[in-house]
Amino acid sequence: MSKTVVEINNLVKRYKELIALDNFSMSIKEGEVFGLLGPNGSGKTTTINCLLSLLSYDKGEIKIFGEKMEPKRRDIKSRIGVVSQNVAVFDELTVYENVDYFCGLYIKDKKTRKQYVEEALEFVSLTEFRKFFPKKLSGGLLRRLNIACGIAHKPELIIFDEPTVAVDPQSRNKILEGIECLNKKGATIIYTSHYMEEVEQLCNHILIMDKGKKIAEGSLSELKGMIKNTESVVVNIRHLKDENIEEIKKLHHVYDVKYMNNILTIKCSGGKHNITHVAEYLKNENIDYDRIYSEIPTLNDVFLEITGKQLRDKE
Amino acid sequence: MQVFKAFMKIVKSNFVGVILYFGICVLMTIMVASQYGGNKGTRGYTNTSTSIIVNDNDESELSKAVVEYLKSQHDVDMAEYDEDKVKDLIFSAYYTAYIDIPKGFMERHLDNDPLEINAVFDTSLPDGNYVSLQLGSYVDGIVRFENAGFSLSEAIINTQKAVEPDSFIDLKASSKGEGSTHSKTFSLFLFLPYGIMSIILWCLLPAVSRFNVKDVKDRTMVSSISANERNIALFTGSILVSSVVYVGMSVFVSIFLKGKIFSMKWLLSMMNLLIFTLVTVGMVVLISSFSATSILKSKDIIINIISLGFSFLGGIFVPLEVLGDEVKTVSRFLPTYWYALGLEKIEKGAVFNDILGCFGMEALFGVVCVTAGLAISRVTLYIKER
Amino acid sequence: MFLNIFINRLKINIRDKQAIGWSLLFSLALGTLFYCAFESIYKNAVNTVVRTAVVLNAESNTFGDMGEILKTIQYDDGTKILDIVETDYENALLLLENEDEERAVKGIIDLRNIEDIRLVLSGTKNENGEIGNAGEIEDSILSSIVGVFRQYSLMISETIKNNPERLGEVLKSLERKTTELIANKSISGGNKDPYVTYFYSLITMMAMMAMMSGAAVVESGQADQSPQGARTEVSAVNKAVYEIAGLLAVCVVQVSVTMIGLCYLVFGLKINFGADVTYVFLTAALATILGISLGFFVYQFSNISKKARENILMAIVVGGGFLSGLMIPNMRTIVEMKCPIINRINPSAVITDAFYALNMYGVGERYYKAMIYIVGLTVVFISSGLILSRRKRYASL
Repeated sequence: MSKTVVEINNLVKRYKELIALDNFSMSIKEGEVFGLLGPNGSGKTTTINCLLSLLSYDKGEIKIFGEKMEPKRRDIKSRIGVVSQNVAVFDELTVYENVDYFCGLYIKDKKTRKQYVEEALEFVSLTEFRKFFPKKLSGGLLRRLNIACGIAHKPELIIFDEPTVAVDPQSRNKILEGIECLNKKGATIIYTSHYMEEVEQLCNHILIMDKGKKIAEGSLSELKGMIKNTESVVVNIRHLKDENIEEIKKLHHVYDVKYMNNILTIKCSGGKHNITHVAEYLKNENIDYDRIYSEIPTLNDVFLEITGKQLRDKE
Repeated sequence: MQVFKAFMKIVKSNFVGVILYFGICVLMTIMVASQYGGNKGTRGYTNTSTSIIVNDNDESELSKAVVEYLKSQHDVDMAEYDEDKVKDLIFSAYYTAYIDIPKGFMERHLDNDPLEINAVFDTSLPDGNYVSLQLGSYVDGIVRFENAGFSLSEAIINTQKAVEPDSFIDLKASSKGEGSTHSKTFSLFLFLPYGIMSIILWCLLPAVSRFNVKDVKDRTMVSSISANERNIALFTGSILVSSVVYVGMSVFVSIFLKGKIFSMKWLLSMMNLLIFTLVTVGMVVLISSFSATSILKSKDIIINIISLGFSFLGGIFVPLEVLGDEVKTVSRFLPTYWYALGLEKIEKGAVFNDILGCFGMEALFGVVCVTAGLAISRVTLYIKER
Repeated sequence: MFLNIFINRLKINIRDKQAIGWSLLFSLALGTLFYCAFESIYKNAVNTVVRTAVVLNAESNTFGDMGEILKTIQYDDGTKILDIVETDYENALLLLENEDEERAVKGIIDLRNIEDIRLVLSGTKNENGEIGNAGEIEDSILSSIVGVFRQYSLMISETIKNNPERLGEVLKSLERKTTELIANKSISGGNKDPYVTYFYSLITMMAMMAMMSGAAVVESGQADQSPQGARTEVSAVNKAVYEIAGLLAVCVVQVSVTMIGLCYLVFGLKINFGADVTYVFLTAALATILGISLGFFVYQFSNISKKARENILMAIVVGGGFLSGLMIPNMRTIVEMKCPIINRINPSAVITDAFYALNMYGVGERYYKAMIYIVGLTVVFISSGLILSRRKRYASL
């Protein structure tokens, strides 16, 4: 059985009246790529900052590698790498010097450090930019430099806090491949992002949180099993009468029907041949349609259904 | 309106700095004005008066007469200090001399074995020498009159009579002028440019520069607000802020001038200050045409270099008459020089055209600043577009 | 680890060309301006010979050859006071009015009537048409000298009137020197020019401006102040090691900047600081370190907003500079007289006092005291800063 790398129990964090974390608990096993999801203001970054002992908290317990995490635990910190949301590099240092500087905060031995820095640069494909100053790098390259600075010392636990914000698809793929590679090499990863497809691609364990609380947790399939929607049948129809819509609603397993802009979306819960039932109904009613297809729910659907669709920043 | 509102909010965020510079300006003005005093010496002759410390250890009839005489000539503080303290006070020009009358001074004087009065001063400077000379001749006069058979009180009266300057000095009207003292209006107005420059630069430079930061400027330019509207908003904001600073400073000096406001001298000085205020806005236009990020990063140093440099070189902190000719050649290119000269001319009641000439030169500096600022902005834009 | 942080922080500071450039420009520009403004003031103020016309006739030489007597009068430092032009009254008046500074006289001593010796000075008309003279120092010196001769004259006439038998004795006593009853003592010191205070203040301000670099060390190492700080704080580095290495790097760069500025003042402009320049450099270096430590200390109070901390530093630089004499040279003495505690707690005044002590007293007790105070304050600021910055959790980021 794999070891527990991170354990958070009943964490409570208040900002005056606002409860940022409300008895929040989570556990991460060694070798996992752990996705931490939640809308803006749900408490993801607060959780990570508490985990890193940057933020004080009102109640609860945090253990990393089985030991209580405190600001002075340099031994634990040396085993953690952080790739923050903000690019945290010095404009006055070159790419190489930046990685060397941050790696130097963990690794004393000059020779080892040099080797690690070279490997980190190679890992993020920045070797040819080693003499560049950050201001000369594109957004994608800058993000990769940010990653190199966080992982150069070969940590066992790496926290990625939205590392692909404002990055083009090519760079994003490169970053995701890199994270997969790090995981394969044995690192445990905590990954937060708003891009659901990234989490879906990377994470083998996902936790969704909202308003400081854990709402759902499990593997991707487990999460999908938690929501009502199991299949959406989509049909492109030019003309549809209201009575037809009402009749479709009455079909077996169907719980929601919408018809907008010539697109009929039928949401089903359970059942195995929903698309066939819909197609049969349309045929029987002699209704012409262009295309019919079935969609299984994505993490995005899971996320929206669990956390609701209203805008969070406005709350 | 949005640009104007945001501009004013940024200006407001610099309020603490404004209070600090205003405080410095208030203190300086009060102190210097109190040093200048009033309309001394405009009628008859008055000897130079300096600040001295006297320590009378004897407290005899003779020593008291000496102290009284010194008090009639100088600002005397009675105190006893150790040698180091005396040195500090004289070096810093806080006092000109320290006069120490020893105990037994009169007794030994009557015994014909006189004790010396100690006078400590910077012997390289004439002020201390003058105090010593004056004191020497007074004490000496008393001794000589006594030697000539007069009683001590008669000797004191006779000496007093002999050294009373009004009785032997004839004044001839001269067009050269003495000009070492100034009116309160002059003294109070002289130090205001430092405050005006510091406060206006402190408020406006960061605010204007913030709008000139590339991203903010670009975002504003692509919005529905036109470049002209943006510039007008910034200009209006700058003028409004400058006006508030000008009014604040004017009210401040006018409080001290009570009965002298609305006189011609006051009105002309106010006009001089108004022109200088506008020139400072022109300086903001010029400076902010350079890299906005650099200005924001180093605003403290820039403001200090300009406000202190212009004040020292332009006759604000150091009177124009003591600046060397070479220095004045450079100073002529500064608005502070023309401000101080204008004030000097107002003080001396020069003809209006002369005063107007100074105002013109001052304003010209502002016009040059604005023109240069606009030209630099245009050239920078042209280079970027290419 | 220490060395790595030190070297990289050194690179960061050296490559911040803008900050270094402005600091250098500040010292070079203001140094030059101060030099231009003050270079000649003290030299011009030092004892000068007063060109004076003397009008004599046969009666004038009652007390001896008056022209010669007047020529021998000296300042205490041995400089002659009067440059005598013997002439007739009409010509003397023309000389008094002469526009040519070289030829003009400051006053006329009229010795034609020995019982009523007169001094003629020029004055200006006021608004009511009355002539006034506020008494320039040269005029006052002349008035004082004439006062002595009037005493002699009065003494003789009064003696003839009241004690004619003592006339011989009185005339003999006139040979004694006037100033024998006064023991003059000059203040000693390397450079007695009070305007050198402006240069003390300039170096002090340069030193105090280094506090922004001290603040930058805190900013780069604290999670609640910058992303780099967050990265540093989650790393395995000992925070004290990080900050000391950072401070050391800042000190190397900022002290070098101050030294370059000071070299310009000492060797370029040849400003006389009145003491062995080695100590001037040492004082400036320690002053810069004090400035850095102060910035380091103030920026530890992260619960205060950044704007407020910036304002505190600005108040220390500008307000402290003002109180230590940047704008008014005797301000430090005024503060010393009215509220001396301010001079003890104002770092700028402490530094200025060290320069002053060095100039006026040389390397001695007072200088050492000032230096110990500077070093003491530095140690207090740095150690307090280190204690405040010990690894902690923040209430918010």
